[in-house]
Amino acid sequence: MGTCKNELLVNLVDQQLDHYDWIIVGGGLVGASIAYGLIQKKPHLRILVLDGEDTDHRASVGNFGLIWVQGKGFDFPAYAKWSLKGADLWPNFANQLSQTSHIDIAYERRGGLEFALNQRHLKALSEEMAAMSHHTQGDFQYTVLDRNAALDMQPGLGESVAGAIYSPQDGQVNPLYLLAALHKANQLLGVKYQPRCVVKRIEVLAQGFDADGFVAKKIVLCAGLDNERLGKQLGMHLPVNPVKGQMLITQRATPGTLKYASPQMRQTGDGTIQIGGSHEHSGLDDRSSLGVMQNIAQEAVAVLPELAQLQLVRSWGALRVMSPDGAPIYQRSQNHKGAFGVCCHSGVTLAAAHAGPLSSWLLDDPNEDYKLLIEAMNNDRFTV
Amino acid sequence: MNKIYDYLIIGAGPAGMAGAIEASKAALSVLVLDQASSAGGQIYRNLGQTKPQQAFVLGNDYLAGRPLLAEFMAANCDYKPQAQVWHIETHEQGFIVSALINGESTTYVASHLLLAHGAMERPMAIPGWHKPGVMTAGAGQILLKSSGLLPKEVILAGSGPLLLLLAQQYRAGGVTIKALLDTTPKANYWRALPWLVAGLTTPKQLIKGLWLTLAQRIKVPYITGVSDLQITGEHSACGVRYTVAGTVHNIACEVIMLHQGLISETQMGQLLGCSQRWSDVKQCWHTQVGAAGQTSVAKIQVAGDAGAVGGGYVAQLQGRIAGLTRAHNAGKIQTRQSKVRLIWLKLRVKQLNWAQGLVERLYQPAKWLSKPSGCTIVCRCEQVSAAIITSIASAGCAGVNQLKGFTRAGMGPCQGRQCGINMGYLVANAQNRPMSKVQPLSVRPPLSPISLGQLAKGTDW
Amino acid sequence: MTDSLFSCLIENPLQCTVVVNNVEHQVPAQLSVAGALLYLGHRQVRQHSVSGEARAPFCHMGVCFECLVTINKGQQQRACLQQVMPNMRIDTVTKELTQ
Repeated sequence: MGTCKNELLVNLVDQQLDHYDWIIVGGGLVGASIAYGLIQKKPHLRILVLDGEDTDHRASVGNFGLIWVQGKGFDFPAYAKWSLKGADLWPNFANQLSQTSHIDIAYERRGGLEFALNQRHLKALSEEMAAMSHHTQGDFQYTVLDRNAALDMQPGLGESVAGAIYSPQDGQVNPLYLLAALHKANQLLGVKYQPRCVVKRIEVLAQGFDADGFVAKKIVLCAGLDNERLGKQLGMHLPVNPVKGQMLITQRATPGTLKYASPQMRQTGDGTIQIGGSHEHSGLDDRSSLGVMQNIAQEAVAVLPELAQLQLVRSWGALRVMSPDGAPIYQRSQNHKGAFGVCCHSGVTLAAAHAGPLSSWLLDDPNEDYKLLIEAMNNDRFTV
Repeated sequence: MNKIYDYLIIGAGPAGMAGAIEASKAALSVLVLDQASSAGGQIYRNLGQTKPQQAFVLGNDYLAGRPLLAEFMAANCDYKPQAQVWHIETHEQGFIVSALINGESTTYVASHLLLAHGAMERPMAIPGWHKPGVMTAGAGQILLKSSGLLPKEVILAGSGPLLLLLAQQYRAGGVTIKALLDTTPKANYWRALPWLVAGLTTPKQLIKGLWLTLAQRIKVPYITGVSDLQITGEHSACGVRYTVAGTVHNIACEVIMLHQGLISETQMGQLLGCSQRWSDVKQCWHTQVGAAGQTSVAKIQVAGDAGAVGGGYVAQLQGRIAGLTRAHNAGKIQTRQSKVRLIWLKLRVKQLNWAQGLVERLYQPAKWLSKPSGCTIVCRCEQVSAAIITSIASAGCAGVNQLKGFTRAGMGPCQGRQCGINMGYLVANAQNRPMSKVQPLSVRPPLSPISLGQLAKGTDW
Repeated sequence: MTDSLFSCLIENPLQCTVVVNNVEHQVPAQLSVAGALLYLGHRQVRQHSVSGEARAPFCHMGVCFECLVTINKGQQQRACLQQVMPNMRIDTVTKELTQ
């Protein structure tokens, strides 16, 4: 009798495990890129993406859209290399994604400028760039521009601009279209998508995981700020904190108003000008605030006075998913084989890396170079 | 440091004016910010400056606003016309309200807020509604009130009391009404019938309404049972095409005015975090408001159509209730007389709102209007069609906010006011969910446009 | 510009001079800018910034942003919320200008 029951139970579990090979918790840029990478490498995989509510905090719909290398990981060599690799993988990734999804994601890599509003700032930026170049054995390329050189690249700069850093490796994309394209491509390739499903409880089964009734052999947590809570259920320490960024967006401006992308401002493919962004520690409050909006507008007008004429169409705040050192966390659960956690606030810059080498790593592909890089970004660095 | 007002009222329509009158009578410091250049709201727009010819055409109900307007102008409160509120945020000291006045962003601080900014017309997304020549019936009435302009000839189409009133006013002004196309579904009459009892509690309004309806039915080419309405013409409107009982008809006309009732404007309440709910009867989202105007957020009240569309008179009573309640809570009035008055006002509003149930059911929009399809533009600002929205909603996106990101619908300067509700309908239809389960578009500043330069220069507070 | 589809019911209104797209006109002084454009026979006031299609005032209450025009060479504003002023310069918006 007892055996019989056990057999039944095993059968039942096997059947359930049969449902999915992978569950991706989180349908933002990180989760969608990983699902896209997995299904492309192994088209037969049964993948389920569980996504949250419509009004949840979503870093993926609030971000700036830069594929940014400058300064990333100037104090963390693995992150610097990883960002640069990620940016280099982007052209192929963008091409393939656009072909699959038939959505133009407005990707371009014309290089980026970071403006310095005084000499001291310019000097500090130059030092960061030198460190990054060193970490990447010179693969990272950049030029320090004085005011005149910066004016050659971006006419109309305000009087207070002291100079800029230029890197040809930076680029930009429409992050909303990127997310839309990933979702559409995933759907076309057979990934299952379940929205409005905030995972409460993940159970560990004998050979897999049960996330609120959805069962799979493997699971990847890509739930942004919720990763810390979900990680605990799988024995993973995934420390993340919200860092608010506020942004402004203007009406459409003449194409070419901004020649290059910049962390301070960029012109979107639609012609609007996106301006950002603050770094605030205000918990889960993502509202816009007057003082910060004013500061952002003041800095934007200081960099490029002609922007003063443009109407503000929208403002918003979004919560960055920040690890203690700002770099991504790629974690394999030590206790539960097949469970992973991915935390990162550079879902755009690293989208190609997540769809490419990170997905291979999840599939146990033995590319040693990438493996070393990825595993250098596990959470061991916080437990010292 | 700015002066901290006891009561900041947004909107100088009947609700806002009445709230200001009551609160300032109780010696509270009151500031009224209004978008228009003169007080009155949409219903009494330009009433202070009306010329005799306009007064004749607009009729007695419009002129009935004069005592209220006079009382407001005499009230001891600060009043800023042409003030476009673009942001409000909550702070320890109170609410920080930013308004654009004469091209400058100015900031006001208040301990309590009354949102009385009124309603807007339900966006009637039919094929071609974005073409020049098409406007709303409300627009037609505003042109008459503020500018004294009349179309030479016009087609009126849709449903609701305003459409009938405009027909009456246009007739008085000698406008050729080529047709009044009534989209009210026949079933609505049956659905509304039991509510006739409610309507009978306000016999004067009921008789006026019946008279208004009958007069138009007799005196203008009045066509009932209209469906599948669309605007014809390539670059601008040349006329309409519609179906009655399975037969397609065409009428030529270069000015077409649409109306499908009013819906509350929720943007400001949403921005401030006041709870919203979907009303199946009113077919719109609205801020949840208690009998004294209170919302889910402390120190924020809503009065008038901003909370639930009930018309000018109810709005005025609600404004009085809100102002009186604020004065009571501040300990400024404690007399038994005012307490009794407050109870009486609340009862009266309750009764009128009940009576309003008849109008709400009678003029509920036809189902086909909540199902725009094909290349019908849903988001006018970003030119997004119903087909695109439906295809993405069908693929299973989380809701209208994700839809906005994927399609740009709702991202334009109108901040989703013209498309939000129809995006909601399309998501609900495509995903087979009730509207009450669909979250409205999130609201972010600016509520009205401001340039980067104006923002950068804005005053500190 | 074509024949106007609108007329003014106020007899002998006070007149006001405005300059629309560099042409001087007399209009009744009580008109809103949107009203003045309709009165003068402008069927469209702007080209849509995405599609380039013609658009005209729609709601007249500041909700729809269809009536954006340039007033006195400044920023684009909603024509329905502004009253005409003596010698006001009003320019309708073409797609190129929007961009």
